[in-house]
Amino acid sequence: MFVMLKTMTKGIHSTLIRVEWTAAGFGLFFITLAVIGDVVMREAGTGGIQGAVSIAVLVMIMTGFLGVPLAFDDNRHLRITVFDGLWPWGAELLRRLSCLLSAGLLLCFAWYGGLFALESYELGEQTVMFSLPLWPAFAVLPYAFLSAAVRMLLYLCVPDLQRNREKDFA
Amino acid sequence: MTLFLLFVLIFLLFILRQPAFVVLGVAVGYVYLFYGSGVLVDIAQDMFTALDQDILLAVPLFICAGSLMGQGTIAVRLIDVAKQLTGFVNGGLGVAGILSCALFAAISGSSVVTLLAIGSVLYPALVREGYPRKTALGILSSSGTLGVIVPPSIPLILYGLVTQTSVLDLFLAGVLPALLITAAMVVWVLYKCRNMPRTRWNTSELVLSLRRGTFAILMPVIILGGIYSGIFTATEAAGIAVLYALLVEGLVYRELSFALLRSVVKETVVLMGVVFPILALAVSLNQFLAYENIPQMFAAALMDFTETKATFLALVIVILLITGCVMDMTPAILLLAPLLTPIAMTMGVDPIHFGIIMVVSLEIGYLTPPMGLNLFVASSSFNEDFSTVVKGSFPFVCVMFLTLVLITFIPEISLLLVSGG
Amino acid sequence: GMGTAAAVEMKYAAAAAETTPWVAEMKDQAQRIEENSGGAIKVQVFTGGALGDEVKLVQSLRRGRLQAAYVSTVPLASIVPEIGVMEAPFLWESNEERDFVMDNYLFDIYSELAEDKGLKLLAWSELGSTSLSGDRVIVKPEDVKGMRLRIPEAKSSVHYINYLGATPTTIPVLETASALQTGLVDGVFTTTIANFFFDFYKNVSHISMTEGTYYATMHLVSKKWFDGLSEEQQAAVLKDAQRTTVPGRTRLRAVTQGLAKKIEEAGVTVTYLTPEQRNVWRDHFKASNDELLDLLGGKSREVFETILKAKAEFKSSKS
Ligand code: NA
Ligand code: NA
Repeated sequence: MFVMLKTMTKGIHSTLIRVEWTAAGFGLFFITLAVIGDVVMREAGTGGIQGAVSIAVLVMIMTGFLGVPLAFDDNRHLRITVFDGLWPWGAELLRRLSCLLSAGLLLCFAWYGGLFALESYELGEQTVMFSLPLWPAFAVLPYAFLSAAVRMLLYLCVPDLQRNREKDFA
Repeated sequence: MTLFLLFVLIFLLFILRQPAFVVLGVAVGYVYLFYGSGVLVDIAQDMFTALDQDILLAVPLFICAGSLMGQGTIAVRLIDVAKQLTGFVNGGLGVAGILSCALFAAISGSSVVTLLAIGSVLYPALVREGYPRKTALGILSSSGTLGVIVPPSIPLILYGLVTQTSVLDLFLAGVLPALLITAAMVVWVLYKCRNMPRTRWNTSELVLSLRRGTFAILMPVIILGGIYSGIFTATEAAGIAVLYALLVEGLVYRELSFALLRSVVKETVVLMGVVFPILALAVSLNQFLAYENIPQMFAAALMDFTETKATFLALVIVILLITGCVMDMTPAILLLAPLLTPIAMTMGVDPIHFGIIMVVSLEIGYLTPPMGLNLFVASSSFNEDFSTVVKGSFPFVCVMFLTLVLITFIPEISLLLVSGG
Repeated sequence: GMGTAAAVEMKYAAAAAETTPWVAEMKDQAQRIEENSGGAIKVQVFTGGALGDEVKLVQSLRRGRLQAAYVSTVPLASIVPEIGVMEAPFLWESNEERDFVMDNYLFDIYSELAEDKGLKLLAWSELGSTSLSGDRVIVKPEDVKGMRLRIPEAKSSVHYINYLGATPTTIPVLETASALQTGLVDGVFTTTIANFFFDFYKNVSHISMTEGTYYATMHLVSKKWFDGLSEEQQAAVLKDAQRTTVPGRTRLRAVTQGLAKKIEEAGVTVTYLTPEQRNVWRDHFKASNDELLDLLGGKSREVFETILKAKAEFKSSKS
């Protein structure tokens, strides 16, 4: 029973990682291509694709927010660690408590991010040049926070899913 | 009372091991609820519009280029040249550390990337040559900070963004202060390491390293030359840096592999994930302050407090140094530049000069505990005690403080190269 | 108003800097609204982009976070695309003709279109007509061929510059003065006031007052907020609103002339087109309107037809 839960947790985690890394990789590739392409085409005298850079900025924001849950996997988010040594006897309890608390707070963040994307959908907000809807870009906010919250719950079950944990107790 | 509760809440969240961006998010939510519009969706709007800026494209691209060069061979080749140039004096390898960081800083916009790229190669070398660990750590962590003052620089781009000043002028203004700080560090290392070993001057080795490093050395020339000759903007330069690094590592040095690319993508995306939420939430806090007219009140209070330009600047330095102890440079610039720059301008300080003062003051913050990014990075990546890094960096903090005083009170150091005005 | 009731707060924001004539106009309007409301509305003016750039201001208006804003038509391009019709190249014969058409026909049309998108149009004023700057005298369309020109990010301006055989470049305002300095762009497609306040003129040798595109500015109120006001408060906001268009325009035209003189004194050659030269430009763009109207979409064709009719009416009233 416990083993099955563990396998399932790992399965969810690796699927999330695979999807997010792939999307982030393509995002970064697109940003680089758009900026370089703009320079090259301008120097070639063709003037580039108007609005491509604005789209690249949206892709950059999406890629950056995908980095939020991914940075949790490597335990890379900045954190104040000076209080860590205060209760050595309760370290594991504290770790679990902090996972739960983070998950709750990140869910709140996701909720308001979701409301924002919904608002934008209702207002029909668009990009200037290609008249593309903006809400899919905004939707990355709730996604990223939701995915981060899920991460927290997964770490709660299987702590080893998070790398560099030793950093916490240095 | 509610403000007191906010501080208790922040303290509690840190004790409960919450990441900085989560704590910041809760704090921003708290002030919106109790002092602002009460509408928390506003924060999401701020976060998104904060990041929806063409100029910010430079951030991931510079991180990407820096990571490509650091993990590839460009950094190593730059270091080789610096070593050949300085090896013949006592403490030459230490000086090479500073010069490599300065050279690398000319193609990287970030302090951490510079420290990692040069440090990972030079730290073991310095220790092997018999340099005390403390000194070696001090040299690398402090010269890593040159990444943000030598143009191109991400913090200067952010300063230009929030104060509506020219990024190009800011870059130009950073050149002489960067040279001054580099020179001051070199002098200190030459004194401090006067008993360290040296090697014989070897012209043929130097020529060899120059030949092997030609494309690496050309990189700063191409980046800065391209910006100033109008081929690309300061923002676009970051994209060109990625392209050049890819071409050189791939076609010239043939060190490009799929594994390297993957690791570069990973480093870039993770750093974006760390920086973006903090940056976006800091802007949201800014917007709250702006809506509530707090900058104006703050400015009025500060104007009452200071009479002359000199006392104002001295006060600003103190504020910034304290801020630098507890806060990272990115949120500090985003929070304080819109607050302080208008006051500075009414006091007769040039906004470009003020940007340099801010970045240099906060640059020192990279080396001051408890929150010193370069201290963290050096301690974790070189696997050394945090307190050893702090002690090793301390003399450099003093050296940098002296140069900060010069840069603050002699505006020409910053403004000499800036034309037009 | 019971006197004891707290005043309604109206935050009124612009991206324009404190020293610009637009802010003077805003402050006038703010004062009038406060007076008309007898203290029931308290207006607070925010300038210099303190509450965000123009795109964000419009976004905040539609969400009811911000109550009022003074913006150019550029950030409205993606919300009310029909706004691009009045920016069609060489559409207008004179200030008088344009004022007549705008105030008698376009105000109502655009008010309705904007209201559908949650924006209430109080009044409009102007950003001005565009000039082309660069390293050479520009008197005919061929003179611009091959130049790289910085433009605001809008479909109408991309269309305009492409149609001249020049290269449109959308770089941020912040980087434009530097881009001129380094030669990344040869010139700027913008208004005289923008040329002055963003220091664009300092880095060019020639400015040609082609006046090809006209840009309006708008005093907008959040519909979400406005609908929640009492009838008296709504009346106070609307009372003198439309009146501001005339003094606003008069002031801006005077300011524009003064700034053009200052730019000339700074050593820039300023060229004005003769009526014959203007006709050459108009002919050059004659066939381009169809393309632009397709590009803009929405009700653009209807708006364009209305403009043509109104122009004819103005002409016959003069003869
Ligand atoms: Na740099
Ligand atoms: Na610090």
